[in-house]
This record gives sequence, C-alpha cells and structure tokens, in this order.
Amino acid sequence: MTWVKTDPESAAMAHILSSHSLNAAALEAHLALYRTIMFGESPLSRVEREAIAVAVSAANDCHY
Amino acid sequence: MVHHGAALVRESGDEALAEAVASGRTDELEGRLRALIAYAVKLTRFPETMAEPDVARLREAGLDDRAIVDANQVVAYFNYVNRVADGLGVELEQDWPEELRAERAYWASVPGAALPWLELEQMRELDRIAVEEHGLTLERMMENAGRSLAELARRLLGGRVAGRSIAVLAGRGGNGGGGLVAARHLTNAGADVAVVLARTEGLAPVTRDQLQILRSMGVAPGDPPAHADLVVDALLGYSQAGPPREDVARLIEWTHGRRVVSLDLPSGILHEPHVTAEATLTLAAPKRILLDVAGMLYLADVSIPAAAYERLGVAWPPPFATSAIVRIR
Repeated sequence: MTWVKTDPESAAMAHILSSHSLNAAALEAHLALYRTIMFGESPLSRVEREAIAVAVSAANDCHY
Repeated sequence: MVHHGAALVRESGDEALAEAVASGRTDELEGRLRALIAYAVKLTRFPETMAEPDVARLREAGLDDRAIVDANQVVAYFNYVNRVADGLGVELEQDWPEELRAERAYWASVPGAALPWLELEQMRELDRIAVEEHGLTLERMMENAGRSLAELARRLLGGRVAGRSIAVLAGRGGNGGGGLVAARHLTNAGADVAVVLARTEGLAPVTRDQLQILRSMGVAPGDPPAHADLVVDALLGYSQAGPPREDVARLIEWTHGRRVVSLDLPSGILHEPHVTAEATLTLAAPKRILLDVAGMLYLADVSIPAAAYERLGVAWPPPFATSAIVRIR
C-alpha cells in the first residue's frame, strides 16, 4: 500500500491519509487544511475547487 | 487524480469538462474556470515563470483577492498532497476498478497504445521521407535527438548534472552521433563527461564531425571510467539491430549493473549481450521491437512533420503537446 509503515489504527482511512499516519499530528493538521480549503466557506464553487485539484494532479502526473 | 477526477465528474455532471481539465486543455473552458486552471497548471509545472500578471489575469476573469487566495491554497495543497502520494508510494484503494488502478497517463506522458508502434522497415521509410521529402537532414535530427537525450539524462539525475559523472558510449553510426551531441550538452552543463567509442575507425561522417566538435572542447574519447553516475548508451541504433560485434559487446557488458539511459533502443536488444536500461529515449516513433523491453520508455520529438507520418500511412495523434519528451510507458 505504501513504502513506509503505517499506524494499524489508520487501516480504514484513505491510503493518502494512512500513508503518513506515523506522524499523527501532521495527519491531523493535513486533514484540517483539506477540510478548510475544499469544503469550507469560499467564493470558489465546489466544482472550481475540484477542477483545480484535477488540473494540478494531472500536471504532476500523480495517479492517486 | 483518480480520486478528484471522480469528484469533479460527480460535482459538475460533465465528463467532457473533467477531461478537458485533466488534459490542461484550457481552450475548451470558459471564464473563471479557464483562468483558474491556467493559473493552477502554470504554477504547478513552471513555478519559476510566475509573475504578478498571473494574478492580474485572475482579477480580469472576475475573481476577487479572497477568491485568488483560496485558489492559490487549493493549488498549493494539491502539490503537497501529490508529493505525499508519489514520495511514499501511495496506491489506489482496492475498491477502484482495475483499469483505473493500472492506467496512468496525463500530462508529460502519452499512453503508448494511442501511438503507432512501427516496424523497423517503416522506421527506415519514415526517416527517408523526412530526409528526402522534407529536407530534414540527418544532422538536424541528430541535434534534436542528442539535446533531448541530454535533457532526459538531467531528469534521471534529479534535475542537475553539474559535477556528476556521465559516461557516453558511442557507436560509429547515427546513434553514436546523437550520443556525442548529448555529451556536448552535458559537458556544457557542467557534467564530468567521459566519451567512450566502440571503435575509432569507420565512423560515419556526421558522427566524426560530432567527435571533432568534442575534441575542440577538450573532450577526448578514452577508456570506460571506473565510476559513472549514469551511462548513456548510444552504441547501436535501430538499423543495427543484429547481434553486437565483439568491441560493442565488451562495452555492453561493462554497462551491466550500472544506471543506463539508452538512445532509441537498448543496444543489443533481442540478442546477447544486451543493455538493460533504466530508461530508453526512442526517437520519432515507438518501435515494435521495444514492446516488451523493460524500463521506462520515453519518446522524443526530432521534428518530423505530421505529413511524413501521413505519407507513411500511419495515424499520428501529435504526442508532443506538453513537452518535446513524453513518457509513453
């Protein structure tokens, strides 16, 4: 699943989150930022935000 | 990409829009979204080109400063999270369909299946058309090939070649000439380049000219070095696809266990001994002979016009929209 060990308690999470579960504080901060910018109040619509996500991930050739 | 591609289709209900966004085809988008995607892709791919007018273009599209900040945060977050995924080897969850989990081709990569894989006979004909009907001389194509080869070597070494040791193994034909062009660019870029010739006599005229340029720069051919961070294999091209001669075979054996990037095809392919390349940079079109070869496969533009492929009778969806070097496998 990943090249590094993960916290067994994170097994049910999306792989992107469990991948860095060994640093629980970073994982928590990551999730908070993600929720804020993708689902929080914003002049950008959900479609616009998801479109940026796709454009960046594609430009990075990031499959996940 | 897969996760948010699915989310974008879900939120927008528009697959064509999602496809245009994923391919960076901003010309198919309108208004705010067009400006946002252009900003996102430019900041991601070419951060060193960013300047104040990039933000002005977002304002012109009707975004206020709070919206611009939010857009920047989303771009920055996805660059962060993409590095997490690529740097820790995060794989898609098992519940995604197998074809989605296997497929990966978006930006500077083109799915190999979309391109024609030429027989060596077709490749010879394509080269003939380029030279005789378009006036693209061997020298012109060789310069493009060698420059792209130097660029791929730079990428494989992490983006910086200064102070790195690179051995360029050159045959006596056109493939060797391309390797010598790469040797020139890599030397100019500050790499410690060792040029090794399979044999010193019987060089093709263009290859001999390239060697002469290198000599004038103080780069003289010699023996294989004790150490090389990367080996450039430019020993044999597609027109020399038979079993390697003894002098070439010796150099091929020397590459074993080293990091190698091959020009056009791994030398000795389908024979013994042969080069095992970490990456191969094939020129102009993929060749069928490369279908089962291990390692990464890149395709480089040597500027052959679309009309030449048409004349050959093969469908040619232009693969170089995003880069002169694209990964095809």
